[in-house]
Amino acid sequence: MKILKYFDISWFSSVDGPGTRVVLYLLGCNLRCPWCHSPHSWESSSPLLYFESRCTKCGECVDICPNGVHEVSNGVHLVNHSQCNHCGACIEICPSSDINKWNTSALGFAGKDIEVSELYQLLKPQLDLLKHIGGLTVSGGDPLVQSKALAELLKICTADGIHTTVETSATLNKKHIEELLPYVNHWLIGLRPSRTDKVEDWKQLLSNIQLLAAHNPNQITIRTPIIPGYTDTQIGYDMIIEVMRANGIKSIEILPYNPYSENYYKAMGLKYPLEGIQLPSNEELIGIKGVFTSAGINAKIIA
Amino acid sequence: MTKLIEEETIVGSTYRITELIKAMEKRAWADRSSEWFTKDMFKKIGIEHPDKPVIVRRALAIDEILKAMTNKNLFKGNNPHYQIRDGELIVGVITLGSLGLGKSFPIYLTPSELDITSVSTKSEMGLFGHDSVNYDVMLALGLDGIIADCNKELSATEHKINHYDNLLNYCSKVESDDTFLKEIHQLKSNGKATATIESLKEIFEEHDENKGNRTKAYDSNLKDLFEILETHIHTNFNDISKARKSKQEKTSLPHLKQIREIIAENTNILHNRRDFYNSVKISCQAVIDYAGQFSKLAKEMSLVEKDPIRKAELIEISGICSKVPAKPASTFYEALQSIYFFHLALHSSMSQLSLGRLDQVLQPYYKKEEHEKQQELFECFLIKCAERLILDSNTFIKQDHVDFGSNLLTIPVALDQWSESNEFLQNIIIGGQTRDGKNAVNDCTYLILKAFQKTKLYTPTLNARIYKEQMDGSKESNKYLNAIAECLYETKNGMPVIGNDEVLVPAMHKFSGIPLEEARDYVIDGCWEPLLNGSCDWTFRMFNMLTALECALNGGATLSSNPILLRGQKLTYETPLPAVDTSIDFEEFKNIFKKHIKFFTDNSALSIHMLYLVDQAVNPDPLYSALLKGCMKTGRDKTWGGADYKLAGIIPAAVPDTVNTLTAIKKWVYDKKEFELADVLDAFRSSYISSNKVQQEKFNRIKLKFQTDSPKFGNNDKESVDMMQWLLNTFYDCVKTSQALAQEVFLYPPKKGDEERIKSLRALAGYAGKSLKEEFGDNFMIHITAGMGTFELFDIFGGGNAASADRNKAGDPIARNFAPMVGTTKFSIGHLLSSFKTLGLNRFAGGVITDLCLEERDLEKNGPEIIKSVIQNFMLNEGNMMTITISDKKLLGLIYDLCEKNRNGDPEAKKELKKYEHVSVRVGGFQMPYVTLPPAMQKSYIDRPMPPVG
Repeated sequence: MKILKYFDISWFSSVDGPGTRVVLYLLGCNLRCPWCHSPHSWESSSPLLYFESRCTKCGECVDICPNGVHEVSNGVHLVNHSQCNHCGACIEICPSSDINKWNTSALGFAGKDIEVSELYQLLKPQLDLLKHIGGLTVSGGDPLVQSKALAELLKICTADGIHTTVETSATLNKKHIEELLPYVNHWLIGLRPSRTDKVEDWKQLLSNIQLLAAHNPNQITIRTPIIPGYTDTQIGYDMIIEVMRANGIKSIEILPYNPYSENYYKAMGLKYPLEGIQLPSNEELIGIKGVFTSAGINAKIIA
Repeated sequence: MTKLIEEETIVGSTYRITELIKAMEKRAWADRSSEWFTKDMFKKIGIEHPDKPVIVRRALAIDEILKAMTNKNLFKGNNPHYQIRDGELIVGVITLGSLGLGKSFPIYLTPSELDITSVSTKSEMGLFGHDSVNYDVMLALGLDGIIADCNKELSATEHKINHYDNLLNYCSKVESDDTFLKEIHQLKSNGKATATIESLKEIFEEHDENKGNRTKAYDSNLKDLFEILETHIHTNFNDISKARKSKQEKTSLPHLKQIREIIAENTNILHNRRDFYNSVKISCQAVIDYAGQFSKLAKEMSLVEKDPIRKAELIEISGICSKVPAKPASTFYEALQSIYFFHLALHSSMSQLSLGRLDQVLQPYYKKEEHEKQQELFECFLIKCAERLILDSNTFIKQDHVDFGSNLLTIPVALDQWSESNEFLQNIIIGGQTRDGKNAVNDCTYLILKAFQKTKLYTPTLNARIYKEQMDGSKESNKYLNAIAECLYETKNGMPVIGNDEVLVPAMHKFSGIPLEEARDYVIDGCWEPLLNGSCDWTFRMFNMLTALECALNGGATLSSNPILLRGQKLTYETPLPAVDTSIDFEEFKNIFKKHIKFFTDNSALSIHMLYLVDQAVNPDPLYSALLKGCMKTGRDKTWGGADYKLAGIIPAAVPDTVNTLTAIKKWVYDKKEFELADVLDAFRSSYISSNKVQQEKFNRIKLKFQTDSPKFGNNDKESVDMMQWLLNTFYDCVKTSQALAQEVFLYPPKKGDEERIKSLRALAGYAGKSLKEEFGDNFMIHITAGMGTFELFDIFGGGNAASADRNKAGDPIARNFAPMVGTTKFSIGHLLSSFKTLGLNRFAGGVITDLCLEERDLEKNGPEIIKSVIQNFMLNEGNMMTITISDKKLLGLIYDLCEKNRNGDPEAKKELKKYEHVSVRVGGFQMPYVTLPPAMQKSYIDRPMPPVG
């Protein structure tokens, strides 16, 4: 069996595909969208994450690190991320960290390699529970990056009668999609025209959507994050409407920008690219929804 | 949440219900200490009637309190118990009191009995609970019918007593066996001998019926005697003597002395029977009289009532109260009022019992065309059961009426009084299957669910049973499951509790020896104890599994850090120390652990049998016995072997903690050999804290590995599931072995030749009586059931334990019931539930309950659907019992802060708190308004939801 790299699992999601679902977040993404709310998922192995609020500044990590990544002085803990060679010694010794629970630890790697069958066993109890009211959604990163291994997982799910959904920006070569196609019941496609888009990504996306729509347009939901200054333009909405019409896709979900991702950038020692951006107001969202509904599209705000 | 706090919020199906609930809550926030009875308001029953048997005195005390409750002159002429409140349709007022606050009741023990309570640990203040009433008999017969049965039995009993008195008189006049035979011979010549022999035979048969436990040899001895008498009655006396002598060579024939004893004993039983029926009569009549007083009050009120609608209601109430509970009920309204009167009488007289399967009981009275009216009536009924509520915890101390003898059991269990301050031990059970295995869901099932959903009351506790046909996916089944899920979602407070028939029925029937029909009719009472429907007398014992583990690790002593205890508090046998004796491997250690578990199961099973007889001397219960199956037939109180079934649960707490600690020790000490056991035990003892830097570092490492890198129950990993299987198998084996021991020593008459040994074993236990079967007859049996949980006692139990793999320091609370320790679950509910599948929970008729807490945010979109899936998954994984509460971390945090302010006397905070009185949480054994809980427990609820809220 192949290995999958994931960084998180959400056990009870009602906003990622039909019904209530387990969401598996895979590592690796070919894009670097500035509004990305999980920058720690970009690479195929997680960077060292440091969450200041959980750190007691005890300094245990300073001595144990062979590369001098950690400095603690005067109650300030500095992390030199670029020096880290991922040995994990600091996590091991840190009294506020658990190697298995990065999202409640001060230090951690947000990733885990796991064999597909083992991963399925891990997911299965909750998938059984949600079997009749939802299923599994695979998100990321972008799941297409690991399409070969993912196809194995989804194949097992389909054989067990588990509904599967893949959330992707669909900007990788169509062969990734073709690998998954037989085992996916529903697609959540990120479509958010922005002036930072690369032309080749956009072209790839359009051809992938055509491919999926030719298969079954009803199995596609478009998802559009509303990022002020990036994706909240009338031109963008018009493009989305055009693509949807051309491919017979009927549903769109509007996702207001998620303000809670800043701490991941901080944890990675990165500057937060959306610093100071205001959340779109309810009225704005309703207005945007109106743009789509008046074009005859089923639009829903996911908050 | 804002909906909850709006003044105009509608709670209940009509405005009347909203008003009643608001009025109830207003009273609940006041200081209610002046509403309590004080003992000087009652007649001193024990002093006035020192010569009456205790059961009669208890009945008189029941009569006394019910009279006091309708006495206009008490409470300075404003008796809060004798009122009909505006809008009420169901009337009567239960006295204040709860498991945590105790009760007020007339002193019915005599002064010398009271002296004895200093060693019995149980006084007349002993609370009853944990039994369930099946009201169908009362509704069908009326209490008049039961009194009529008593009268019939009494006249037959009196007749027999006279008859026996004559015989005893006669027997005591004859001096020896020979003269006895001579007398018989003389009677024969007068033609009366046969009649006498018949009388004697009758007595022996009666004796047989009562006892049914004599050995065969003894039986044949008596048979021989009659044979001799009958055969030789026509021959002369010498022949009889000769025959006796020849028989004697083979067996020892019963002698006159024996005959006298048997007659005396029989007469004794008849006297008990007479006392019993008299007490039942007094108690039942007291309830009828009480109802009569309310009929009178309603009538008086109707005469001055100006509102014509209310006037008509009062007239109707007056009519109903003059009819029930004396007469059979003929309408839904009458049935409810009748049940409430009896429930009220029980709960005001120390017997805090369950309401039983009300959907089954009420269905015959239900009329589809009157649905709305009946819905409102049932909600009125619920409010009456709930109105003892006391919401301001600042007033609890003033209202503490518990005394040393207020024990539920014949042995004391330390209680968490504060958290039990609003626990009334009242349950309603719906759904499941009927005695013949048919689907029991009916109109009243839905009516009751709807009433809980609408009123959002946290008491009585509602329990919904589910059985396989309700899982078949049919429209009918989905309707039932959806209704349950909706109720859970709407109330958020864990109503109803789920009972899995597919696990509990076999647990009762196959693994505890209860007949299938009775098992299918199981009910829940107390906190969540599975019982039989109105046909059993229940008791239980608890022990702490983590303490047993400490004893195994430490040669029979706890891991106490108190230096004057040296190794620790000695509780069980001294066994080899695995930390010292390195030849002990993990398998061997498990064998040692088993010995310590058995110490506790022995203690439980033996004391259950040994102390069975205590209750009848202090807490007989004639009112409950009037309806308890078996008692009226045998003429015996429930505390005197009367109930058809006697059930006793053995319930260890801290089973999850024990598995967590055991797996961590196995992994890091025995498998990976990373730590020495001695260091681990030192770390446990000292709460992982040391003043020595090197040792502290070691403790830190142990703590890290044990707490974060060891399998934990609830995550469905192989290690913890295997360990749980081993622990449950071991515990179950120990219960069976202990039960066999207890039965050998206390239940069965000793085998021939074994009398002295058994006698000496009994003496060792401090018991000098006969075996229970000799005392109560061959059918007498105490069915021991195994269960697992903490009830509300997770704080108290943890108070005695050192640190462990899942607890930071000594004294920290243990895991609640059979749920994972808070903070140790890595995955989700599906993982916890699927770890049940291989545990064989269908062996545990004592109940194994898992309390789940879901985060409100997770349920926003598909709440009821998710809850339904959780229930179905629980059923398929063969879980035993389950509660699902829905929590909102933020909200609980906010209420906690307000409570802190209120505890510091901030009047604004108290006002603000009233908005949140509906928010209830599951406290191990029951639902409790969050605002009433002790601070530490309140705090612990904030982090409960599973999966953990990020």
